[in-house]
Amino acid sequence: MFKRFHIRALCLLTASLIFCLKASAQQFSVSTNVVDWMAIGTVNAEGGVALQRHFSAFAGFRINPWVFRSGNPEDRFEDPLGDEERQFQDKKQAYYAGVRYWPWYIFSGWWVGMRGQYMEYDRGGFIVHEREAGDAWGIGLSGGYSYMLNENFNIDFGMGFWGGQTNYGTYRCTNCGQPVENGKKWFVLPDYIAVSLMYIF
Amino acid sequence: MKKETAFISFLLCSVFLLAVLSCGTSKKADSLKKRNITATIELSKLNDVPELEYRASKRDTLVVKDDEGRDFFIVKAIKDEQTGEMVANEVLDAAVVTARFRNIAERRGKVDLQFQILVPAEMQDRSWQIRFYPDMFVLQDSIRLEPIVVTGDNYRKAQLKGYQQYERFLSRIITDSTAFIDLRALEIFIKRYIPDVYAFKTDSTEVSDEVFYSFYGVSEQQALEHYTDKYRKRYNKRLMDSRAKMFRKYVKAPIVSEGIRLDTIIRDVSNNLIFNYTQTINTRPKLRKVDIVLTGDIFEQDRRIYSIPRSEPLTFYVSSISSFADMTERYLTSVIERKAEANASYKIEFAVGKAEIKSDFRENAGQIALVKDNLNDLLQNEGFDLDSIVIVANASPEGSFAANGALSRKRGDAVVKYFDAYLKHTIYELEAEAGYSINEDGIVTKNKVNTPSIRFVSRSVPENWSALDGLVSESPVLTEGQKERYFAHAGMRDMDAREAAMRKDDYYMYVKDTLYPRLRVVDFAFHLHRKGMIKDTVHTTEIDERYMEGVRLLKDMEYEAAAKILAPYQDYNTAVAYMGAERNASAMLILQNCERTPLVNYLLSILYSRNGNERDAVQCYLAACRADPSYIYRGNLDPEISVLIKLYGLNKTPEDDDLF
Repeated sequence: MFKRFHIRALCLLTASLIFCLKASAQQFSVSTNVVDWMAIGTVNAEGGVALQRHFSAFAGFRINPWVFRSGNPEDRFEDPLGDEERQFQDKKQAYYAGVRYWPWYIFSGWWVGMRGQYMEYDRGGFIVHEREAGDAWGIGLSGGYSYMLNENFNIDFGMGFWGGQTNYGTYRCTNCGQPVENGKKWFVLPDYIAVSLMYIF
Repeated sequence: MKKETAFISFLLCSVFLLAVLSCGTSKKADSLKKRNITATIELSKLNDVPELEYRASKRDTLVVKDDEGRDFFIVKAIKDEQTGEMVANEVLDAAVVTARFRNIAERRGKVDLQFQILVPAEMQDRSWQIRFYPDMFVLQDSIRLEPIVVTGDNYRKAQLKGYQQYERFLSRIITDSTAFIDLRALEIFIKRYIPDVYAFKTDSTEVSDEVFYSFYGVSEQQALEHYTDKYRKRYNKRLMDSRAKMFRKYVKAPIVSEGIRLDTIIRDVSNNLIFNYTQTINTRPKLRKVDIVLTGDIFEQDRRIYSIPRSEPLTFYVSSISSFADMTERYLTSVIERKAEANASYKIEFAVGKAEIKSDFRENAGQIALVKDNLNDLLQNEGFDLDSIVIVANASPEGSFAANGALSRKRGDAVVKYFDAYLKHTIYELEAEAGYSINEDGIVTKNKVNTPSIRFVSRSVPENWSALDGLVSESPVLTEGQKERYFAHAGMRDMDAREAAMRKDDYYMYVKDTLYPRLRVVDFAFHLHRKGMIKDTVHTTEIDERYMEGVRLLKDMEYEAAAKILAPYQDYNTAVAYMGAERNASAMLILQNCERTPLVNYLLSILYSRNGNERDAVQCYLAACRADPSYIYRGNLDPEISVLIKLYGLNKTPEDDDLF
């Protein structure tokens, strides 16, 4: 399920970018967020297309499939249910699309953005042993500054919040399926912090 | 508690000290006001012509000729204080000049006004600035000369501090207008979004005004504005605009360096200061006198604390070379050409009642030879062109008038016949000399001789009474009475009766024997002229405007221009113009050929003095003074002469001085 969705999304993105290449130069961007990569290796990419002097549309994904386990047998939770190894994860796959408003000109200077985002997530083990998993839908607001490095490269600084509804479940341990609670809830959360390398073409 | 009192007393002391210090200078200013202290101007002790004085001191005795040609000696002289006698002196010391006037000489259209400004010690203060304004009064104009400024060192320190503050303010202003533009970002933007403009960046062949837009319609100008920091730019402009205000705020008394003669900084206020001031002015016509008056102000920063009272005027009397110009009107001369006549008259005499030419009679031989010479010249066309040869034949009054008429006609005919024959013979000889030519075909031709045709105009006077009247009146032999009696018959119409009347008188024998033969002549008058024309100079009544323009320029002290115009005339005014332009050798050449009037002598004296020829200078000057005593006074006005007067004690009356 994970992989199928992933491949489909990538294909869609690539197809749309190739389609857009027919238009004039300096209308497109691809970027990847360095902060996401550093935050326990979240694979991410984003593509953008200029719509107008002040507006661009973008779409992207962030995928983190990793689970981190300690190899040390001493390092075990005092779990009444079993001899569970300590582990943490921030697994997610998020797909989003939205528009950015550039007060000066596309792909340069300040911007604010708005996006719709879908995210599957499964995270826990950082502070407490519990984990939460679920599917979330929501709207994100973001803002930042795009610094032109040269004719083709930008460094794009940005951060965002998003809010919406999640269909979630919480579990007692990071690698077990023992539910604690589940349901639907509203949320508002920080979405991301980005220092992205952006290629304009 | 103790501490507190100590602090309060310290505070009070400092306030008191400050108060005392601050009213120190204002007290001084009050004292100046009360005593009406003023700076003075005086004539400087510098010699007008220092190089003359230096040169003059080499010689101390001159030998000069007076107008009778006697030698007499002139030595450098000075009046002895005790005896009042003039005694020879080797070195002349500079005297202290206290006069309020000085004679100065205009040279090359300029005069140097030299004077001194004396600033008394009590007028000086380290925190003051004294500004002196010399005013010059020339004709009707008043001209402010460049001021002299005396600045106290503390005054200057305060000025400089203000300048430093202003400097710091200025350093905040950004003058480079590109400093507000993010050029890096602008360049990237243009490169990325307006690549057409970027392509032009390296295109030096053509600068196009064409406007390029980005894909979404942004021009280069808009991009430039976007990448300009508007806030910083506005702030900087506000700083720039407030410069004048800030300058006034920080620099209360600006340092003025333009338009002032001197700004001197003083630290020591114990001495009187003396400034030598030299002002060169261009003279103008009618300039005789220049007055200099000094005023001034004392400032403590931007506050004027004292106005220096107006000084007594110093007067300079200007003497000018141009005053020697001769304004006499000069008229145009024109050159006309005319023929030069070379007339000659000869006499051939005849015996009583005869009409034959006798070459051995009296002086006939010589006269005939001269006539023949003239005819030869004419025939060979040498030197002369012939107008006419008039032959007037005469007879003496003895015998009847009618007979004498016939006789004189015969005499005329005889002369014409005689010389016609001579001419024919001569032409024949000339043609013979010219010879023949034979051409290639063997044909002989006679060479041509161009001889003018000479015709005689023959007239006859039967009895030449008018010639006799002349001979009688000029005769040294006849007495006045005899002459009177001769002329008593002059009114008679009948010439035979007149002759008969004369026969009775005692002078008749003398007239008949001595004077009558001189009437029996044929007069030859050759009316000739020399070949070619000769030129004559004629003075017209038309004024020579160009010359007068030169004289006017001379009067206006435009010496170079005057000399240029007057150069062709080489006359007295030309010399004056040359003198004004310091072309002394040219002036000398002309003047030496002029008639030696007192004026010419005086000018020569100036020229000799300029050349260092003091002996001739003194001699010419004394000659001028003897002929016209007004040059005694004029001599003091021209430095070239006045140095000689001083050096040799000239112009002393005999009562003053036994040496003269």
